[in-house]
Amino acid sequence: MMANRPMRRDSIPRAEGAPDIILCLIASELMIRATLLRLRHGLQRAGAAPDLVERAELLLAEILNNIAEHAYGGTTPGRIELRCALGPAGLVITVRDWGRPLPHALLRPPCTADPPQPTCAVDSLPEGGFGWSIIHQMAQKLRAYREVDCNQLQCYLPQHDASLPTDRAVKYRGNAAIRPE
Amino acid sequence: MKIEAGRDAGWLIAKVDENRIDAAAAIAFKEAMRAITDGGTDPVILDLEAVDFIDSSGLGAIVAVMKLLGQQRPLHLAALRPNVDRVFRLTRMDTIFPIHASVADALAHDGQ
Repeated sequence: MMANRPMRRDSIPRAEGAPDIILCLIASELMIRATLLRLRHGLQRAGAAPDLVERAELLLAEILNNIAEHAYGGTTPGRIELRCALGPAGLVITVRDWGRPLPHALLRPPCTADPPQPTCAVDSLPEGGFGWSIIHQMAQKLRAYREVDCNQLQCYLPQHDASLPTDRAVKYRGNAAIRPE
Repeated sequence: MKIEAGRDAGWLIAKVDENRIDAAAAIAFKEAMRAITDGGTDPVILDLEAVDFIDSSGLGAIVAVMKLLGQQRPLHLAALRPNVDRVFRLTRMDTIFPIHASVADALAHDGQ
């Protein structure tokens, strides 16, 4: 029996047979938090590796927070539908909302600006704008579509973390990270 | 947002007693840290041992606390779990905050 799936416009590897995790929410901060916890438990139950579960939670936090802001910010929080399909190579993520269209500029990866310098003035450190940078570093094959009144964002989170370059190796003592020397 | 304040060797140690600093908690985190640090001059160690998740909102809130403290009052971070550390590394904010494996390590590094 063929499952009724939305048309895929890009070839994202996908496992047949693994049940999708489908979560619906209203785009408030507390509901986003509750949804992320449900996602975490759903992925754990489905046998996802702990590292993938953690990365998925962070990626979806950034995606959901940004949709809440761009689609519904300044208006009544609206509905978001999240679908995650776990396969052997990673997680296929589809997020739909019925709010304002997403600004296309956000879909382009940010220019690689100079990293913040340790000696730069504290006053000039940014407090926001990190979310899309995180999304672009973690998610692959990021695509957005608008169909009538529905925005759809699709991306892929690979099983293996390719987001950090090798020069940012982290040392740990016990369970805690220490600053690179 | 529960944050426990303590003092040791001239440092103010702020231990976060919650497991998430996310969008829903960011404002409460900033306000709790403002209350704990208000009127003091000691440098601060933020103990994140209990925190298993932060997102960019949580990171922004920690940056806001650093700005609140000002250039003269260092803010060090201690006991970051790998999941939390990931956010600092992805944003390169691990080059901005001194990060220690534990509060004890932070105290031993006094003056760095």
